[in-house]
Amino acid sequence: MFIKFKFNLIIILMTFAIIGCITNVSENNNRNYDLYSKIMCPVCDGQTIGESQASISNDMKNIIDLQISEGKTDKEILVYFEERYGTEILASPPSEGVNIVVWIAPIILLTSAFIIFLSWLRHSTKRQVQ
Amino acid sequence: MTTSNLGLSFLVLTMNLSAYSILGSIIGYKLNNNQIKLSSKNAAYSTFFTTLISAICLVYAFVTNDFSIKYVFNHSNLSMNPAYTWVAMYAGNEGSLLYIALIISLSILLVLKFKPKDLIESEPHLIALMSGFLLFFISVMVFFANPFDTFQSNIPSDGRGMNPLLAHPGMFSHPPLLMAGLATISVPFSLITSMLLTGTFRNNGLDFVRTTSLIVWCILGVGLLLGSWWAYTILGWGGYWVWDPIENVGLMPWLVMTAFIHSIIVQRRRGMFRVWNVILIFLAFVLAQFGMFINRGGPVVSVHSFAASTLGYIFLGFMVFSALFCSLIFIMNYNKIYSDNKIESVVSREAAFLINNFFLLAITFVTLWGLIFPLINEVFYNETVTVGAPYYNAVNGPVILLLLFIMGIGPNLSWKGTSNSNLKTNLLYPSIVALFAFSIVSIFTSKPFMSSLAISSIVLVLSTILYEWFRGSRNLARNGTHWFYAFFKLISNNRKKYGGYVVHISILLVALGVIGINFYQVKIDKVVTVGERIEIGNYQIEIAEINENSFNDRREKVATFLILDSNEKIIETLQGNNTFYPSFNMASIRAAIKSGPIEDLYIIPSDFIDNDKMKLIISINPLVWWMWLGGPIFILGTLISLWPRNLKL
Repeated sequence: MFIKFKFNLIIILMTFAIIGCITNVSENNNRNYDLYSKIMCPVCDGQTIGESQASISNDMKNIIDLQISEGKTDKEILVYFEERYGTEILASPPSEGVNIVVWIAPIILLTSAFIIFLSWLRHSTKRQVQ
Repeated sequence: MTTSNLGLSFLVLTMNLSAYSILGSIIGYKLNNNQIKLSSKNAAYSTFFTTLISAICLVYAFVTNDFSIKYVFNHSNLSMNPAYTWVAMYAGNEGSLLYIALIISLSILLVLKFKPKDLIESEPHLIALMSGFLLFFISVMVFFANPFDTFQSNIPSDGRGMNPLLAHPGMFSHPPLLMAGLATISVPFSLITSMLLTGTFRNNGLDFVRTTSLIVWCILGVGLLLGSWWAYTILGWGGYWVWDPIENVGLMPWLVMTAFIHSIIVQRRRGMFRVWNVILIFLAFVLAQFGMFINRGGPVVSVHSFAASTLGYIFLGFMVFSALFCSLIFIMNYNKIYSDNKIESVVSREAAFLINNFFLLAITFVTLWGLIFPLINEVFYNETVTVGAPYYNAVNGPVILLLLFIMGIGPNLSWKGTSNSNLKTNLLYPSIVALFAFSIVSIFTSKPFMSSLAISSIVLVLSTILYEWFRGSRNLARNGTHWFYAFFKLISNNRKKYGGYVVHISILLVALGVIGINFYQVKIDKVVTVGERIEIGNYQIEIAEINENSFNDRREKVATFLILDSNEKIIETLQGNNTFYPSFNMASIRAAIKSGPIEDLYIIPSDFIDNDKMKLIISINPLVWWMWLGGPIFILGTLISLWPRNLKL
């Protein structure tokens, strides 16, 4: 009886979780702030324009607000700044060209390392059992 | 004799003493002469007192405004708050080296004093290694970065002042703790290396290695969290954590030390992972030296540039030397280290510790890669790129989530192997609770999938811990003991384990804050005039007044805010300021923060436009409060873990 109750509870919760996943629509109310944190301040050391209080950062924020109101996409806005200031203005390099390496390398390396690690772990435990 | 002469003389004396103690230890060991050994040990002891005198000289020079010393001239002035003159010693490169040397010499003193007797065989090597480390820092000061350098003529009447960003209460705690943590990784490193060199790396003295590692790890962790809090309250650091290169070089050794303090448990319990532990402590030590290098004239752009100097190559050289030294020691000795046991099951505590180590090192690797990629790119493709927060959040985020998950599962597995029924008893209820939390969060909030996963992982870990505490205390309470007393008895019976659980809870609290600010922050910015009211969340904010104060070295603009609740009742009055330092051409902005367990109201006085008009950036940062609570709980957990068995409160 109790076991069945627990089983039912898990089924119900699973259903809720799936409903949650389906109905989950992530809204982005902070689009301009997200963009501020993706662009570096050109005159500061290691700060984004979102954080920096330099006047050029304020100008750049205004440009972003304007372009958002003009209906430009995030990508278009980022490209706009990249063309004017070079790739280093972006807080992280775009995932294209040579710079794709920065994103891909850790993912490939860690995934393969994890697979090797797990198979080593299974192998060494199997040998023990025999 | 002037202060500067006295300070420098004692630096030179320390240099000779540490050189003597290295030579004495080696000769004493080779000749097996106890008197030479004792004499070199005494020399190592005395380095603390000689370094202390040098440090006192420098602090004295700061407190008495002795601007004849160039270092004091560069990092202090008369209009500075006198409290900061006591700590301005580590505001720049030369003085912070002296501070680090002081900490290293103190660690030598403490290690030699409290070292257990069964480590006697490796003592000469230990002294030689630790004195060698001290000698490096002292020599750098004596030959390249003398903190006691003076002006020969034209002694200035006032100094240039400390970097304005450092004038914050955090200055008393974050820099000294972080530097102490990075420097004292040399202690467990020297202990293990000396044991390897003498062929005594067995279980003797392992408790002492564990104790020192936990202390170092705790100091470093608290230092990092305090830095985070500092960066949160004041602008200019990029927010509580921005994956700035200098933050990263502090985090990486901490992550590796975290892996180390976990895997050393397996060595103590099961006699396994010996080789692995050696690799981890070597890695932590080399990464700490990497941190010193990046900090002092490294090739990366950072918001922290206080200790920047032209000494980069010396520290790079020392790092390369440490790496070669570690590799050499490892290659020469690894065949002498072997495991008593092998892993018997994938579903065992040992395996969980290994997986935890894997994820911790994965985060370290991702962080290191992001740090050095711009350098590689610049050398090979001649293109400058920035690798910042978006990269780290995207790549490290999921790994951290997996690590959290393992934190929930791992402690519930048994040594050697876990039966299914055991697993079910331990994890069934916590999983149900976590699943419930997942459903609630994903149905009722409109935030990314990751946030629901993260919150349910936290719930999973927390409920496994609480469930175990509950069952443990219930068992102890069966024979009539009061519940409350049973709970304390449970913790006191196995302090190492339950201290670890308390530390896990503190990590959950930090994670909660990170989730709150990353996923649930609401932000607006607005130009506001005095008397006008703006609404955000359940608050109304009004600027009550704007004041301007002038000092010799700075102009301070202070805004007073009234915070009202939805019933227009004043709940709090807050102040935020924007201070401009003309001589540095730098503004320091202090946010006005109303902090609470549910959410923080965070007001940045971004720009003072007119006498009665200013631009505000206002945000609501949910759950950040818990992150700072994590600090004391982290220390509490470490203390419980460290508390000796035979010592009763």
